[in-house]
Amino acid sequence: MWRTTWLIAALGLRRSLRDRSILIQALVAPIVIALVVGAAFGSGFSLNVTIGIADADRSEISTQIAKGLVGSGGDGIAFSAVGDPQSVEAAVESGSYDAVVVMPAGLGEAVLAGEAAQLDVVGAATDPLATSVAQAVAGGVAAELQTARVTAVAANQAGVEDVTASIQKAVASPPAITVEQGEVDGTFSVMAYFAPGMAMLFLFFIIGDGARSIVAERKQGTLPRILAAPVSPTSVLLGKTAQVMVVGVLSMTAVWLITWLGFGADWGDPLGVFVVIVAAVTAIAGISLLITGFARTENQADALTTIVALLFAVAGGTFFLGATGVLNTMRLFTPNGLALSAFVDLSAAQSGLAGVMPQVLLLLAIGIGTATAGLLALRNKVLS
Amino acid sequence: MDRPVLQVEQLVRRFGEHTAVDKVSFTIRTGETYGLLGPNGAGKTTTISVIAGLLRADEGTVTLLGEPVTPARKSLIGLVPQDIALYPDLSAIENLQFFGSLQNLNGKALSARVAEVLDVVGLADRAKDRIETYSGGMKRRANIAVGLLHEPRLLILDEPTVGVDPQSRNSILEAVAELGGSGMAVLYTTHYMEEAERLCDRIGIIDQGRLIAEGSRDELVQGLGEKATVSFRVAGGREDIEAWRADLERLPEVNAVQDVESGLSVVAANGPGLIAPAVQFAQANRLEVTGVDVVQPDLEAVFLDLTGKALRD
Repeated sequence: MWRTTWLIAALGLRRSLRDRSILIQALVAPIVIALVVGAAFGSGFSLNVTIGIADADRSEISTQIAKGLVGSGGDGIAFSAVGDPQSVEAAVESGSYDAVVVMPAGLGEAVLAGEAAQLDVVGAATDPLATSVAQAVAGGVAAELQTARVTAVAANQAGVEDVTASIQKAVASPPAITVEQGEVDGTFSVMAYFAPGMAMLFLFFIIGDGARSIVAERKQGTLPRILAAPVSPTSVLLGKTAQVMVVGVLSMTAVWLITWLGFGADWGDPLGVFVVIVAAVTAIAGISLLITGFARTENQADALTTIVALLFAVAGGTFFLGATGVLNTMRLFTPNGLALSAFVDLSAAQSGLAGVMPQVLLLLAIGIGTATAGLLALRNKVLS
Repeated sequence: MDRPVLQVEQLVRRFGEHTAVDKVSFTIRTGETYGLLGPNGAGKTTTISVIAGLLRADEGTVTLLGEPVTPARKSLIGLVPQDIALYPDLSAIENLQFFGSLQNLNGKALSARVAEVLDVVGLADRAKDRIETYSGGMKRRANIAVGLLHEPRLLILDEPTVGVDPQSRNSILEAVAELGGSGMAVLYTTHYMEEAERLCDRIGIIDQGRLIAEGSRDELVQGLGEKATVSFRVAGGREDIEAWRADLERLPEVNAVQDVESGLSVVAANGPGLIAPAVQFAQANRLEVTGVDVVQPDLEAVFLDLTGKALRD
């Protein structure tokens, strides 16, 4: 069975790679559109994020850090003190803050004891960008504290001043926290957001074509001819599924490599990016198979694919950055939005694979569930 | 006598309320070319789809060399579908290599068979060209080549000459005749009487899903007995011709009447004996008989006699 599955997948791949329209949809269109949109946003794009600073430690060091942060910011990032550190989650949920950096109780003591500073971040799942900024702030503060502590210990050993005073002094002014806005506001960095978004939009069409080829081949007569050979229907369906998966992964990986190596768009941890690509392609392939399986005709499947692709693209945030309100919530109900939130986590927050596993697992669940239903429907419809 | 390559017994296939194939039975032996002759929609393609394992039978059995058609035994069959079932964006070689691989051919054996069948169908010089660049006749020949690739025991050809120019048609018929002569069992469906007469050792006449007659061409024609087809050409109005037709159909010796250009064709038990009363009826209906032909009995007459309608209807 696996031999014929491979033969069918290989034939489909060969035909896909020869098809210039697929090359245009898979590579040229997403990159060109991402470039155009990126240029449109250009340096004029700015964030509009309010980060809360919650001081649950109330130590001299944490108080100094909070003072330093609150009132600083700029370029669309504002810091504001959170009145009650115990109600941070409610404050985020109510929309008072887009995300909150929490300095936990014991932070000051830990720093003085020579332990690594650990700050927490509370963010809304619907706003991964703000959460990413808050994580960057927390990381910056932690790094700053570590540097200040090392410096203070050295100064103390030299008899200059005591450690606490030295650290307090180091964090008295707004710390040199590098909020990597450059990750999201440069033309080419904006591309790290728009390129995968556009690639996923076009993947619906490319993968949809591949899924519909099962129905098209039945009409064309090649599918009955294949089934007249010693080939099981399961092999045919697995072969076609493998074909659309490989075409999808290849095309999106190519967009990633071209925008990364050619245009400097950093999508983040390569392993994480590749896993998210595979998960996103799985979800899109599953949805395409489901549409093909339940549509009455090839034309109906084509029309439905277009509608679903555009709906998911709009709702998933493919065409805009920094959505708020309902649009922001809707994102996470679409494979596009889930994948984009993972890509933002990888690029803006520099998360690793572990950080995007929730989105990856959801995408895989969507893909496997819809593909199973679609393949069963196709088996009954096409092969009966 | 050796066991038949194909044995179909009491085959029934329904689509909802419609019975497309109704208790069809026939056998084909090694080296025999069997024709399923019938008009479009008679059930020919459904019958071969069941034989090839593409459709399930609702009733009846199909055996190949005495055993049921299992997925593994499908390689005993070579199917040449009515439509061009090839990938237009691939060359003939690529199509043949793909379908040959599905039949478990590979390596040098596959390459050798691909070259052989391309030679058989006369496409060796265009083998590397994409199918979409071929003429209709060339596509038909490439379509046949795929069915031959794995040297099946039974070759099924479903109306292989539909839409083909006369030259290619002749070439296809010659190739099929050679295959039958080489010992391969051939099941050939057509609605062209001449093709069935030219190629087939035995012919099954199928109409509305039922096999209504079977035998060699001569046996079927002899079944007409003294019946003959008389073709009348007349001058007159359409209404008068219809009235004349009604008069003819009332004659007890008339089996079937069909329209022909400028007149009617009649199958009658007494053949030439019909001419005198037919002319009298024509004159009574204000028609002038301008010509009369007594046609030699053929499969068209057999079909007309059996079904009351022309094969092309």
